[in-house]
Amino acid sequence: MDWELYERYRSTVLLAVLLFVSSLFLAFQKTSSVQHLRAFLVRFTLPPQRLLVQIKSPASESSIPEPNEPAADTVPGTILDIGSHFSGEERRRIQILTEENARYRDLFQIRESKWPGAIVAHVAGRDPQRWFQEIVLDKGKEDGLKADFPVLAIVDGRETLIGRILEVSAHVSKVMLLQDSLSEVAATVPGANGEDGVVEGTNSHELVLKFLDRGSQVKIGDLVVTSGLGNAFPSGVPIGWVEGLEPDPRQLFMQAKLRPAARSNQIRVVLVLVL
Amino acid sequence: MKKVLYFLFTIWILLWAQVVSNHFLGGTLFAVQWILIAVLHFGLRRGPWTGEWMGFSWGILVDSSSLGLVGVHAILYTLAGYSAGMFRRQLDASKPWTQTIFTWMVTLVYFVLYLLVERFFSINEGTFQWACLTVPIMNAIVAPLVFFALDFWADVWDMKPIEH
Repeated sequence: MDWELYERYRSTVLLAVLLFVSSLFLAFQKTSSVQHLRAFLVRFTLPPQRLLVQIKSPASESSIPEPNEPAADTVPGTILDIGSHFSGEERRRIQILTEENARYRDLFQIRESKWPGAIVAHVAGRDPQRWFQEIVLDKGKEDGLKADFPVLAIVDGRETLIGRILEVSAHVSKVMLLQDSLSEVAATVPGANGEDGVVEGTNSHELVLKFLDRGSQVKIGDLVVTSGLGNAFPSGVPIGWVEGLEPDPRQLFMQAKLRPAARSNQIRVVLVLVL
Repeated sequence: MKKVLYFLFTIWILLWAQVVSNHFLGGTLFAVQWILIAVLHFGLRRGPWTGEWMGFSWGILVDSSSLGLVGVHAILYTLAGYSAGMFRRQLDASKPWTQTIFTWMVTLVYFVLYLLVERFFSINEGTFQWACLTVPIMNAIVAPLVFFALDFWADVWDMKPIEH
């Protein structure tokens, strides 16, 4: 009798058990046991994500040139001379590698000249549902990363702030992007009497620079950089450009819409600053 | 042993397919939830017991690899597997139209529940991406293909659907 009852309702019982277990995961997100479970299970999905990143960015760390090495396209008689001997597909591949090479050269030059201790990491994955908020890096605690370390990307040969480390596990870490609405960065506008404000995310492409004076000298096109206040981020790192100005909803301050210097969907490799 | 291998391989392959799909189509109008469709397939073909187990297994793996809350997908996929299993007698799941319409409806419910759970548990403000609106349509379009592929895959393993 009991067995028949079990056979009849076992799916419902299983549903209740699985929902209960899932709810426990939800309720105790931040506990170490759930985080350990997550770190263990993420190993099953990280390999394809890493593979995809490598396919898109063919240069691996072992093939990254040293900063002093000349890149292929700067050596006379290489690409331009032999370009005609390659098929279209090969030329495209060379083009990709050349661009990749230039990107890494910029990154290593900036690292050598400004932040010798910075750690280079690759974007290993991102969640479509939290596209503007977070990315996952392929380096973690064992590589020297810690929570709150600033994360920079290199755009057009210049460093730019993209966020900070939010959580770290052994081999991967999560970055909170500037676009996250919970992100706040002390910033300044060097060209406008050094006006200070706070850059906040909007969960979309744009950023907002808040708490500017109503008589602010900030104008469209001004570059906004980190102010270094609070020591959470180094000073003078570009964040974005002013695209528009308007009073805040309470009409107490002005606020500026910013175009981020780095588009979050073009980030492949980053520099994590060790503070 | 063969049965275990069949389920493990299926979970592994669909997980990879979802990762690859997210990489190239995530955040676009053409995003597809291959795993959700597969969960519905298992629920409709093999009953709620299998649907729930597959849904929970995939859900917890997706939660671990994504950056959101751990448990959201586990809950939603488990519910999807259970509901598909409970509806299997009312639906003729061999018809492509049934697969399409059922997948479309479940995906809509999935999104509503996802937003509710996310709002309730997440510390972040929920971000609604308009691109999500096309996911139910894309899921519905590819559902017959996924059902066909998974039926073929089961035939390869000689794993006839057994109802639980």
